[in-house]
Amino acid sequence: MPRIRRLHQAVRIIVVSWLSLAAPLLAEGTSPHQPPMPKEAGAARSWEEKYAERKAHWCFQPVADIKPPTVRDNGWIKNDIDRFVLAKLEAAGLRPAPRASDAVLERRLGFALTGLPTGDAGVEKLLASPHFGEHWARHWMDVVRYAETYGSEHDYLNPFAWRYRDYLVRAFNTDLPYDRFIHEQLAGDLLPAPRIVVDVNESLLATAFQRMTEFYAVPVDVRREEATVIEWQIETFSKAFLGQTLACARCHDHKFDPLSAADYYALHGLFAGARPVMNIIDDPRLLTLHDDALARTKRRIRDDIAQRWSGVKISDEAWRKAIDSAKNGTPLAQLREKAGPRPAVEFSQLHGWRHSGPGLPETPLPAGSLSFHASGGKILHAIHPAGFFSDAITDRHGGSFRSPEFTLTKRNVRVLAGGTGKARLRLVVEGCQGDILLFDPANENLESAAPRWITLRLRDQWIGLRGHIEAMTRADIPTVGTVRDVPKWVAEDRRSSFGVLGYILQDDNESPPMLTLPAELWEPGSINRVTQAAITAWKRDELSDEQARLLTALLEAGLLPNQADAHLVKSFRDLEARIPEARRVAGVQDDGSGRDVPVYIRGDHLTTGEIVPRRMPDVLGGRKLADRLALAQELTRRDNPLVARVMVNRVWHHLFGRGIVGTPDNLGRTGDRPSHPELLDHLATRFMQDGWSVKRLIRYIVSSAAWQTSCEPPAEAARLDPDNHLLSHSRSRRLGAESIRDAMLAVAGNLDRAIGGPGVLNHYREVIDEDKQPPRGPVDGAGRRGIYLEVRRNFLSDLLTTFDFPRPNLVTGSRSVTNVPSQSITLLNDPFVHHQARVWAGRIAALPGDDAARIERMHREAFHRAPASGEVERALAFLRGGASLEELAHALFNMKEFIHLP
Amino acid sequence: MTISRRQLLRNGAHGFGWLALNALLAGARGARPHFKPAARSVILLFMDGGVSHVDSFDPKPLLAKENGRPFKMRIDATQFDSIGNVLASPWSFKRCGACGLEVSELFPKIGSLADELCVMRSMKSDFPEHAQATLMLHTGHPLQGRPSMGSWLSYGLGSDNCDLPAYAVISGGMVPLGGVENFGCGFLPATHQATTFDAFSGGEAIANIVSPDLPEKQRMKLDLIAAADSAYRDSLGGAGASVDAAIRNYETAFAMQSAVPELVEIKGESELTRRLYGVDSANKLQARYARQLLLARRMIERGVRCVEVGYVRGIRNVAPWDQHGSLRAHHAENAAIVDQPIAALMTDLKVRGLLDSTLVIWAGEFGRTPFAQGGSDGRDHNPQGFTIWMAGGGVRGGMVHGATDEYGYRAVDNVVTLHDLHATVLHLLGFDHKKLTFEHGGRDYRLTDVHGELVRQILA
Repeated sequence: MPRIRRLHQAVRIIVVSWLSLAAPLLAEGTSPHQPPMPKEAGAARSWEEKYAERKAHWCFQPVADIKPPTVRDNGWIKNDIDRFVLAKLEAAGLRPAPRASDAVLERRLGFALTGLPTGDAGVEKLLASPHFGEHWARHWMDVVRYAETYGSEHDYLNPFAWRYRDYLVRAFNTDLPYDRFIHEQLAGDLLPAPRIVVDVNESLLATAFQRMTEFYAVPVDVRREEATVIEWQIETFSKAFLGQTLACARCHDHKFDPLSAADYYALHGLFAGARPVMNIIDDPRLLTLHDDALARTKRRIRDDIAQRWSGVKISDEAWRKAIDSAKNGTPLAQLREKAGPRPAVEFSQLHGWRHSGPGLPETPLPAGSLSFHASGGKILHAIHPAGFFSDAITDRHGGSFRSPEFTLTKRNVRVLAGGTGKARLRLVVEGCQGDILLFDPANENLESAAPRWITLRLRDQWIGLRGHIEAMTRADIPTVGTVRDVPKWVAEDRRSSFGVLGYILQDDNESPPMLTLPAELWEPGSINRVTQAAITAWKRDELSDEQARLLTALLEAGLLPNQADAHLVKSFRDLEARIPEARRVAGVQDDGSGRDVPVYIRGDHLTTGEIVPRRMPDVLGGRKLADRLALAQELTRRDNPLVARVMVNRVWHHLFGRGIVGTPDNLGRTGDRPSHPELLDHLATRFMQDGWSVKRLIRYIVSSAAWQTSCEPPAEAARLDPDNHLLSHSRSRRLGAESIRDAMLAVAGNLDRAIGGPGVLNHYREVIDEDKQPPRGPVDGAGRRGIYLEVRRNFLSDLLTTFDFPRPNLVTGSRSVTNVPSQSITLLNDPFVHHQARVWAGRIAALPGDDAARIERMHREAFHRAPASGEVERALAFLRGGASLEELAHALFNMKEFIHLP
Repeated sequence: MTISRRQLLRNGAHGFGWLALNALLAGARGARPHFKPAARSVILLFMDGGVSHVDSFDPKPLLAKENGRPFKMRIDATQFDSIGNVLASPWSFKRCGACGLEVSELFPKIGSLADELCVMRSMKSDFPEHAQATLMLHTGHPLQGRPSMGSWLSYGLGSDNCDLPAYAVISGGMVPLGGVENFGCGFLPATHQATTFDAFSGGEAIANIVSPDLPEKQRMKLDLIAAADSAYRDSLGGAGASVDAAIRNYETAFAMQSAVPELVEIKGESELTRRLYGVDSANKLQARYARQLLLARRMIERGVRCVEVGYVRGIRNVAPWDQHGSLRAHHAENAAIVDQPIAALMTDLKVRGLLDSTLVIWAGEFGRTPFAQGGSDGRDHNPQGFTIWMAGGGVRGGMVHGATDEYGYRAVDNVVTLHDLHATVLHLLGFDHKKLTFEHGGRDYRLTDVHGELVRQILA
């Protein structure tokens, strides 16, 4: 029985006609483009044997710089692409179809380059149009599984994912070289010279690529969840850049391709070190512009406070009362103990912690730094011992701070930390950022500026696993929750801070180390002497941790006045007010651990095999990789056989409706074979030589005679090349979902041409789950292009999915193009379509001229051509029969020509 | 050697040409199963949130004996990690039917049909979390993105009615956890994803089925469109065939506009039928669920291949059977909603001679623990052992298959995984689950992935 796989549109029609003629039978392998699934004879063979055989597959051979072939009819040739195409046609005894009409080509070009009807704008104008980037960004979003939520049970928000969408739009509009595009998405956090454009760190922003995954907030088995997320990342990575189905090798060596399970886990180790964080993407200079002035003013406030405190007298009675009423566990409480001062106990210092955001200092602050109250009469929150404080300058600065990974050996991770403004301290187990239910005891909101021991408690099943500690200011928590949680997420005054000083792992019966005070305090009558000594030390930058704790305790007990010069405080607040709101997007940061992982036998994390060093897949050289940056750089070596081929094939696919390889995400042995392998290599070589420029590639392709042919099959094509693999004519196709929608908006005159910004709410038929589903948006999506409609994994746009908008759970380099009655029902009855018809008719009705002129104009707007004979008459008869202009507009939207490109 | 019809359908079912191809295949609207099927359609009654098996169809006297004592078996990690003591069932069990099946007093009416029920007490799932377990039940995979069972059946069998979809979900106003992906077609062509019906909206049961145009206006419009499309097709010359099917879809769409309202209109149903289901019940939620089930029967009559009845919204917005606390009150409340309508559906199908060809599946995503959750009077999720039942097309009635341990914690005898369940359902519909495949991303996928054993013991 033959296997007919992946029949494309034209083929299907041919098959239909064959059937009706009781036509010839397809024999296995008649077409090189529908190979049978490879036979795996002799499954008992060793991996080495299989590998040796499989690596001979075409896609793993070097890209060759092939001289274009000679052809007989040089008159047809517009550029070298045509030589490759025509040589094959001539060899098959076929002639190319004639050039399509100007009108058809203009419409084809507009949709291919911008996804919009664009009149007669030429190639250069379209390449320079900002709408170009929108259309090509959306193609990339199909591949990377773009969504603004994480799916699964809660459909948690992926905060500010739209900024990544806008990054893609800018990348295509500015023709960011594709090699750089890869480096930024894979390793934008590691680039030595990130690309900062108009105050935005584009490179760092691009790491949001790695957060386009499903994510479950409350996994019972955290290691399984981590493995799942990394599988998403590896699958997207390998399909997007390599055109390989490497994720198949999670459970076993690949069944068909030269990709082993070891190859898979060699990359797992790299992705495991990429920690999900909220990246602040502003140019740090923008946010820290006033830091020096703030620091100076802060010192003057300190000096002023210290001045006010010199000579303050604390009565013995007040001091005694403060000690007696101190809460257990606070520093003052230890003075109730008769035994005298305890020796200080060592706990883990903060070595190798990583931070992001402008708030955190590079090295720990010495004792004596201050936290300010956000407002009100009191100025000081606390005077800190030595440690890392995100409000070293101001609590308007955000940031996050992460420990290295360590083994969770005891039930309690106790962290000496403080914070304000709902800053968060949490334990992340095996990379799982859970924050509710099971993970509640491992998440604490920081509610005291003065550092305290805070216990993050482990579940039994977490003992022995890997974990790390994270502290984040409120806006830097990358797990935001559901729609319902969003209002709770942003601190109203945008102020939040934390400080971390150390941590210790302890069993339940162990207590955290005492936060010691100056030992002299146990001497009766010493309080004023000790206090004044501390104040003097503070002024001289010589404060000790013990003294800092004493001053904070006295402050909290009301024994020291909490006031400062109002003028100084105001100048501090004025400076703070000039700090712009930081822009954030969920992305990743390298954890610096560089960890090799074992193979998980049959994909099961509980059954581990040999440890695999981080490296490239063997078939791509197998070189060792230190981190994701090294991986990115490996990909864009000139001798990588896949990366350029995969990208030029994607571009070809979008321009021709089908790739030179018909399976753009899979160039492996189960994918299609290239119809024009020499042309593919020619394009790949040129692409790399042209500085990986996507715009140049597109310009080159659309300038070819091959791209400009009519869609009408020339004589003999149906017989000799029914599948049109030889490109004797163009492939007619239906518009994509967004283009159908956007074309209606554009034709109606209702299109908002603004670029970028937060997603627009979808016009859901109904909102049935208020907890997780956002409210219903406007029927016309506020006139924004389809790319700007929100993409929530659990609540997709009904209108777009009807026309094959891809589910963001799958890597989709080639959208399916269905043709089902629900599409007709939508075009006939959906309120969006009627709305656009109304707007369009309203605009047309306001124009001067008679009905015939209006009809003519509407045809031009809808189809980019004058009405043919009979069309105006039919439309006039329609109106005379009692139909309105709006109904005519609606009928025009429903005509096949509107959604179809010849 | 010929091109197999199935292969053509598989490839031709998405895209231009599908209807044309369909017509060519001499009226065969669906593809052909691998062998003669026992059932031609399926109804899935999804008990959203997870019904407690030890309180419904799997009696465990030991729980009463050890009530309040610490649980003695090794316990796997649970969703809430809060292990309480053994919790006896608040309900007693009665022997029902000629077969003597033990059913708790929660389900007296379903119990009265015991001789129709094939109770599988040894179900096992791998996931203690709602979303994963629910996706597992629907798609055989814990993550979003795989085709649901209904989509596979639509792909394999097509619809028996051109004007209605092959796979329908009758929404009760909720989306199960895991999202609409539970009904998604994954990588299968979009035509196989479920069409969601709103049983309570009157005419507009599915999106956009009601035209804002008057019928004669719409007819005029369709005529104008048809004339333009025909001219357009001719203008394309040899490429014109590519729009043929799109043109034909308009006639199908027009027909659906009357077929759907006719389907959801229950005015013609007899008073007896309404009472049987409880359509006018004073229990408003029961009345709603009854209407959903009555609609399910009407769909089966009209050739819809796979119907999922979503759980009725009202008790809670999510997972209504998910009783981590207040088991006694809320399980009773849930049972009072579904018991009569479900018994009515089976009776009605039987009377109409449809039960033999319709497989009814009653299932939640997992069961519940035999011990309490912490100090509460509820139970946590239990995927290690739970019960579902099937009835009708091709399964033996009045039987119990498999067993859990003496506490009802783990499935121990004749363990049935969800892959096994799917393999068995496909078998009943005429498919070898290993051969119903779709190629995607370089490999052949199936509903049962690389697992699944047919449960032969339950076949009639």
